[in-house]
Amino acid sequence: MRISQTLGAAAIFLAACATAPPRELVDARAAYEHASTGPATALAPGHLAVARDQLAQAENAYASSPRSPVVRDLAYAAERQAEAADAAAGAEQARRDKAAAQAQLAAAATQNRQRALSAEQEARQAQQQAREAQQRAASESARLSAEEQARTEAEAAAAGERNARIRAEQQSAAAMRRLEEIASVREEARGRVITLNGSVLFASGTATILPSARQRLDDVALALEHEPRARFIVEGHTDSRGSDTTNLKLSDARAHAVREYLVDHGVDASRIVAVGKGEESPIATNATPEGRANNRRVEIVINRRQAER
Amino acid sequence: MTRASVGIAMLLFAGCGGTAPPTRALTSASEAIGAANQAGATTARSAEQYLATARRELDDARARIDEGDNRGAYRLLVRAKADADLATALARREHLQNEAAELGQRAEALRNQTRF
Repeated sequence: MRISQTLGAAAIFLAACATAPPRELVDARAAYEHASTGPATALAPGHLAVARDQLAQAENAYASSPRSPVVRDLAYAAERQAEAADAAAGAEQARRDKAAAQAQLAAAATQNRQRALSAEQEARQAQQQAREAQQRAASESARLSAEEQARTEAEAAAAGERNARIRAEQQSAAAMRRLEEIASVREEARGRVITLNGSVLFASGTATILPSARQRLDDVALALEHEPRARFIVEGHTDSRGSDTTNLKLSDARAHAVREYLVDHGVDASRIVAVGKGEESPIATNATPEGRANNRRVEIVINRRQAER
Repeated sequence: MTRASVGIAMLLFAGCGGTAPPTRALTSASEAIGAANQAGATTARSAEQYLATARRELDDARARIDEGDNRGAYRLLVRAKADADLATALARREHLQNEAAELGQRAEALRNQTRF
């Protein structure tokens, strides 16, 4: 009877074991199930193996002595070990994440440094280009200023020349007008001929220029100065009274006197010659005093054609 | 098999009668608690409760030893070690995750900087 009671008790125990394991064992089984289907398999296999062994011990203890408090202690430890396996897997993942983040940080820092260096270099290049551009602009500006200045000067010079030419022409025209007031001026085939009356220039029978004639001769000199390329011939003429020889000599002396005066007053000596014509070229009749007076003259021929040769 | 589980298995067959004070188990549990401290369990929210439990269990075990209940003390020390070990594992995970997250944020910030 006692044996059967014992067996019966054992059967009850077993039955109880099969239907109601201690809470700690249930928790341990769940914890292991969770750990073994998670990342611990790959990331913390060692910890998982320990957890498996501990659970196995708890199961064995439960199988052999279901009500023993040792079962609960073993199951408690097994549950903790399974949770630790999970945590170890999480730690391993975090270690890998940390390493990856460190690598990314290093890469980003390197990239940052390189970009900073590039930016610095670009800034220096840009500065250099800006300086060069400034220099080119300054050179260009200087060149343009110089050109502008040269152009302005050239224009001023041209204007000056034009003005001078105009003034010279005006002066020449004015001189010629004055001359026309005091002398006869006409155009002939041989050139422009200025005729000055002999009695206005010289005392009778002499080749000495009268003081009163100087102003006229000054005007003639001025008019001749405005013919810078022409050649001049000063011709002395007399009337027919007296001998040919005397008249020739007198006319020659008078022509030379006028030439000398003109040269002294600015006419180029190399372009002016003097010649006495005596009585050979009258312009009026020698029969009348008037005609004779007209024949007694000095002619200055302005020959432009000579200059052109 | 761990030392603790071997010890427990011996207890199964010890039967009634006195057992020696669980000196090794005490050392083992104390070292485990020390390791948890070193791993930063006191500053890891996920770990601190297990560390606190381990300390309580250790203190209770010492009290049981003083009372002569070595078996009861042993059982507490087994739990204390298990709790301390878990506290260590959780602390390591939490601190590593925090460090990884911080580094990840710094890397992202730096990448954003370089983009602009």
